[in-house]
Amino acid sequence: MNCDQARKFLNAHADDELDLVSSVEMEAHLAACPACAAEHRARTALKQSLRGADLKFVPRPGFEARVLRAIREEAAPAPAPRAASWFSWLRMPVWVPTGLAALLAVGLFLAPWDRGGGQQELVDEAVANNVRSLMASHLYDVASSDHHTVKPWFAGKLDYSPPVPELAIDGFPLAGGRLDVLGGRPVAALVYQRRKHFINLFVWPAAKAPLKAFTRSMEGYQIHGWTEKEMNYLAVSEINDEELSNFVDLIKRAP
Amino acid sequence: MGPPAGMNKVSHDESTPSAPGGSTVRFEDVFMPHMPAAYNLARWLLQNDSDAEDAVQEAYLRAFKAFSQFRGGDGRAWLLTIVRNACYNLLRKNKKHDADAPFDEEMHGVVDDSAEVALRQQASAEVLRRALENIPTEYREIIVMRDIEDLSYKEIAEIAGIPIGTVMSRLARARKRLEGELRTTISSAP
Repeated sequence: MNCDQARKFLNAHADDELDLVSSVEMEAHLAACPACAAEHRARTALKQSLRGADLKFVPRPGFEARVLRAIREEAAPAPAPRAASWFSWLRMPVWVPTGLAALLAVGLFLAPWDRGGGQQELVDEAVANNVRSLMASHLYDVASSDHHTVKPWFAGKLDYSPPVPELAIDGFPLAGGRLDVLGGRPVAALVYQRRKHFINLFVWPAAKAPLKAFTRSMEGYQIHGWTEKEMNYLAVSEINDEELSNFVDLIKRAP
Repeated sequence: MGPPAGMNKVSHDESTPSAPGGSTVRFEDVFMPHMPAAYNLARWLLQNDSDAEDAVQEAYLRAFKAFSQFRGGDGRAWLLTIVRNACYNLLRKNKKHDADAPFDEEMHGVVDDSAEVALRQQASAEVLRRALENIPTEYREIIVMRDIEDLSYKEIAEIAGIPIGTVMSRLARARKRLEGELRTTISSAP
């Protein structure tokens, strides 16, 4: 990494927003370059000052209650039978419930997106990693269309050996691989190409936390998750869902 | 790659929230915990208590009406997007903010000094607060979101409706500007 690149990513580095490999390269550059290191220290000092200074404004007492009243007035046209209000007490120890039992029934379903346990967080993280990999031009640490090159590259860097299927013949050439981090553990990120687009395929051992198969689209990205042969897979890409489904089928069928 | 397209759109996943309709309980459960962040952002943008309160209340009502469009995911970013819009509307109305003048990052003179700045020691909270109040809104808000509210680049991109690359470059300029402002504040202090 040279000074120009380092200066560009100095803030992202101080903010811990760089992917693992870029931040390792950045550390190496900072160790060797006093000028960039001084910039980095200034950035970190500023951040620490801001963090330590307690600069948060707090609403005046009673303001939260005022907002709640406004919301409930907005919702008021629905008649409000009194039944089931014990339940609202359970759920809202702080805010005084004002009835609206009919609406409370909807609350019984709780927040369904919490039910997937940590899965949603993994998906968020995978999408963020995908975005970062494109942003920092750090798509791969090992650029190769040959799985005989990519697969051994991971040996010694991971405690497992990810399968690296060849799909070039099906229109998804391998572009490379990189180390990434998901859920706090290092994982293999395989990068496949579809015309001018990329697919990040994260692979790690399912162990005791297999992924429940799902597909979703989020912030313009398609995401597929599944578990196969004791490996978890998350595929993230901006290609359309039909193409990504096709890709996922090919990965599943690969020997 | 453009800015994040907005809310999560989810398909055939049984753990997906269905449109929750107008549940006040669900709404309050999801969004009242974000009140401190909403107020803090509004207060930094508008710089006085009663404007901040009006903007936050307005934003909460708007969020409540739009709740059926909320598809789960990052509730804080979703709410802060609405709060930020409410603040900018109010700024425009109050004309405290010259909305007609395009924001020119070059013009807002980035102080490009050496990194050997007065920031070695932790600047006092009061000095920091004053400096932060004095920099342009667009710089102030991004520092507030990142360094005071601890939002990720991805969340900031969503809230401000800008690409992640712009988050990164604007933060760089904002911090340079704040450092310059701090130098001025510190050197002009008695």
